[in-house]
Amino acid sequence: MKELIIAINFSLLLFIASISTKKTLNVLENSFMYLVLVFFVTGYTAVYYINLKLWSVADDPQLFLILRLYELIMIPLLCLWYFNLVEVCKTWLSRIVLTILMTGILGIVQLIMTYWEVIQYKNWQFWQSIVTFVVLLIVVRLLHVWFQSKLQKEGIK
Amino acid sequence: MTLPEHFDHNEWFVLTGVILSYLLVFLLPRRFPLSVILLVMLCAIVFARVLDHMMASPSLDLYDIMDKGNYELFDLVLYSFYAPFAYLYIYLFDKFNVKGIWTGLYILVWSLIAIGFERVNVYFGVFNYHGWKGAYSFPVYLAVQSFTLLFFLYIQHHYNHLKSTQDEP
Repeated sequence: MKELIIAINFSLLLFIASISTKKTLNVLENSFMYLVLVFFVTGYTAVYYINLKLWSVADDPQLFLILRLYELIMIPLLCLWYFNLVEVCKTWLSRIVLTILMTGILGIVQLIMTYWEVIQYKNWQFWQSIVTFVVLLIVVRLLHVWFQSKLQKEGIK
Repeated sequence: MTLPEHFDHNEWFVLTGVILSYLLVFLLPRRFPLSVILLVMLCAIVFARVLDHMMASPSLDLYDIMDKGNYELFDLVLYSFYAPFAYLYIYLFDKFNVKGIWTGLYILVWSLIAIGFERVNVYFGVFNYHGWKGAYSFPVYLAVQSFTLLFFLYIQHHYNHLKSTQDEP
């Protein structure tokens, strides 16, 4: 129960912080990226635990609810923070530092999930999760650039 | 992601449906900017994905999609099938300038259409229920279609706002 309360509180705080702060990207870009992130995160977790059985997930309803918060709120919103912050970074060095920092944060959140036994690794190593996050950030960034080009053609910068 | 066990009636139904529905989208006169169309279509795909992920995953396992309970390649094709419906839904809403009490009726009619379409999907073996009932889908469609409409109005408002602020000298 303690885990569920912490996860709900963290998700709510993240949600409130995300909607109340001024963002560098516009609403259309943020909506696009959130939807893409949810699609990818629910997709790869399903492939990992249903198809490939590299993870097992908790059957306990409370822990299962935490997994849903993790997939639908925690990871997508943390990634959105990253994409908004990366626009502020002027130099490549600062972008690389931010990417490493965000990958670390995403990794820590996943470690907490494994500590709470929401996710249990089977034939899986933590570094593979880090690779997954890096690939996720790169793919979503590429899709964002593509969406930005469509917006620019329509006269929205 | 796995390939279909047998390429039979459910795969053919989805494939034909996807081709025909996207053809309809391309043939209809353009009514919205591409970015708005993309967002509405993506919203429909993600709604379907999230709801299936919650209700068809092994923990609840209320139904299977296509041949197996696994995440199949054709699940992705099926998700893309939802997008043209969402487009047509907002297209007609905008074209007929639906307002007030008619909005509720519009959502109700589309939810009934969705129920009918789901039955066709069940007939072709796209959805295999075990624990789920067709009647449960109705409130889900009511909620999803209301939210899709709200999302469309929200992004259209912001699109117009962004466009007007950037067009100013």
